Amino acid sequence: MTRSARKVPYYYFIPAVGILLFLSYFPMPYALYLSMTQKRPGAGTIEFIGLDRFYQLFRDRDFTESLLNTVKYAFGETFLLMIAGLVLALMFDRSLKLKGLYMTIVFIPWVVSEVVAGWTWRWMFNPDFGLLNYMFGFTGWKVSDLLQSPNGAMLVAILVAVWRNAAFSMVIILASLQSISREMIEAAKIDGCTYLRTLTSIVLPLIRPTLAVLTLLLLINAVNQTGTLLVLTNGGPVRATETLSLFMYREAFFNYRLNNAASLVVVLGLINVLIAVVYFRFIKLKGDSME
Amino acid sequence: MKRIGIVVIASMMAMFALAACQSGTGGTSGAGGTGKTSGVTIKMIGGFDRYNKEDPFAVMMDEMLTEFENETGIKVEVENTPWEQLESKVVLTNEAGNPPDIAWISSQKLASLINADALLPLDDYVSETYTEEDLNDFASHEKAATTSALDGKKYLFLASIHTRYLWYNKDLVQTPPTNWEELIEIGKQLTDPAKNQYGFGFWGNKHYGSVEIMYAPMIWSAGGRITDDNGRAVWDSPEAAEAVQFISDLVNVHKIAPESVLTQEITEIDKIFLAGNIAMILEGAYRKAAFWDLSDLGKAGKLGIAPMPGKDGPAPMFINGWSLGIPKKAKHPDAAWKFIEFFNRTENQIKHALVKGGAPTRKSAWEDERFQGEYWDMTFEVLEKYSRPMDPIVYYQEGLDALNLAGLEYMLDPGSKDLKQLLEESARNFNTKYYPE
Repeated sequence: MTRSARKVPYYYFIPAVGILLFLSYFPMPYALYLSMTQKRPGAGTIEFIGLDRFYQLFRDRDFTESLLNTVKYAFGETFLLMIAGLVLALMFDRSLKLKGLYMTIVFIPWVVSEVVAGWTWRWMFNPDFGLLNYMFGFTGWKVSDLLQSPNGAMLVAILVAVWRNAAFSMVIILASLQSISREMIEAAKIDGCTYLRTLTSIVLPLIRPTLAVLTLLLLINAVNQTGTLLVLTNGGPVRATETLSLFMYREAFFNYRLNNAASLVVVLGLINVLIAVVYFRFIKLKGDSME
Repeated sequence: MKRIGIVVIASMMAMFALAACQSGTGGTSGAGGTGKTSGVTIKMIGGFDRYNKEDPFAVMMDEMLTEFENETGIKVEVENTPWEQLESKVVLTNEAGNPPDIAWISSQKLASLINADALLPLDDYVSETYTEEDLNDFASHEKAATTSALDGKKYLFLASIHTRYLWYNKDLVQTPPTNWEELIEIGKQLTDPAKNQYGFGFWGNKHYGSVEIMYAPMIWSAGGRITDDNGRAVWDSPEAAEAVQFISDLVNVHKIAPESVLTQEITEIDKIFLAGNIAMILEGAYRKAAFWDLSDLGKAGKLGIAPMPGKDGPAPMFINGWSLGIPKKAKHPDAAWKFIEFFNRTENQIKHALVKGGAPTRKSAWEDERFQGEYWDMTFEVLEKYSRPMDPIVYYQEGLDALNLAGLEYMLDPGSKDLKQLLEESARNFNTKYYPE
């Protein structure tokens, strides 16, 4: 094939790739531009203010509270999802009666939309008419109080996210478990290893790369989570569950401060990049140490 | 790897430069328009489907728009947008350079929209169109709600003036309360949590609207203010604390309001009221269609309205309204103004008010015989005697949000927080952030 003939396929997919790259990557520099400029109301002129907005942002109590909420929410959700996914995957890695039915039940929350999930749980927690108070009424515990207290609301938000995403976590880990050679497990049994010893000394080390990737994906997803939180708590009570993404949403669509919202977009983007950088450094270090 | 990184960074810088060049000045293009009106099609955004025959408001607007089109030759395309998204759509489309020509806007969002440089001042149009006599026919409430405290310019025209009332179920409440003490007493008689019955409901969740409808009137009736004349927060006064404490006590001490008022949307509380489980509710004139005209209680004549009880008598109620404005980069502002002028005619004001529930902005319209009856008698009484605009506040939503959050933080767990401290901290943070010295 001639050199020019080898280039022909590129000419066909460059337009599509170009559009995709533009749509994917143009918003970020535009957000950076908005975050570094200020429009004068009335005059309509735009002035460049550099990093001023970021300095103000880091001194803004609303921002620091949102950042802290994001850390709590992201790490809480990720940790619990890893546990839930692992437990479910270990359960489904065995032969079970009615396995198909149980899997369907686990998958249903995952296919429900974020908004529907949020609204359903919000109504279940209604203090006057919610199902949960009715179910647990005999214990004397008013379950709906959880959603009305700052710490309780964060816990509920995390648990709803875990309920919704456990299937995803399970599927990834299960696929990894099923790639482990059965002979190794059998050999460990023959050697007298308990289930727990087999799990900690053989299974977990073998699926560690999968767990690392899953952690990265879950963390990034949790940091950017908006839909369910918006509907379930709207960042409340007070601002106890207002993460950076909800703060950004509020600045853009309620306070109409697009430049401020853009600066939050940039910060969120940097956080995502930081998570990825830390992850890749970790993988590289692990790779180097294994060599 | 380094080479790839350099290419990525260079591409981002190129795109950054491209974006900066594109949005150079922010411009005032479109502010003048072409001057041409006849034969033009203008785009309006509002929370209604013009061709929906089951919505009384949509039917009224369709008739009005058809009449306008026939008279002026200007066509109007209405884009149905949820009410709560209208202002953000104006800001975003204006920023993108492709806004509608005319938009329905909640008047209390005026300051935020001016800050976002999203609206065209209407003073030139006003001076060319209206005489002094015309302008005097507009109620003072209209000007107060639509003129910027920042630059004194007029940016909107109110479609109608909305106040708030104590709506009550006549089957349960024979004589509505006139002060805080009576509200608590009557509320207690009507409350039975075991039967899910409550005496009173209000907008109390995490939304600035709860300040407009509940906190502000209570604070005003106790002698306090939300902000001073410069827009700085003064809601840390003893009077404001007394009012917020009263609101909290309705839920936590006297228990005449369900706890869900602190967490649920006001529309959910409305439904509970219309179902007969709440005897009295604080809501606005904009609920006339849903409550008075269309609900079972309303159709059966079992609804009454009264001034909201304040500390020692009727409380001053916040007034606002849906209004018409022209986005700054509208392509046909002159044609859009033609519609505003048409809408402001007395007869059209009357038609709109009869359906929407607020008072017409033209005082001459108030004398019309169609504004007779219990609802309108109370509306005009509340408007004339007990209404006032919000205290001046440039950072409207931010300020009201801050007060709302401080109040809510206390109300959700009153035993563990000091209300005075919360209000002081909230006011101090707001003033430090928006009015640094």
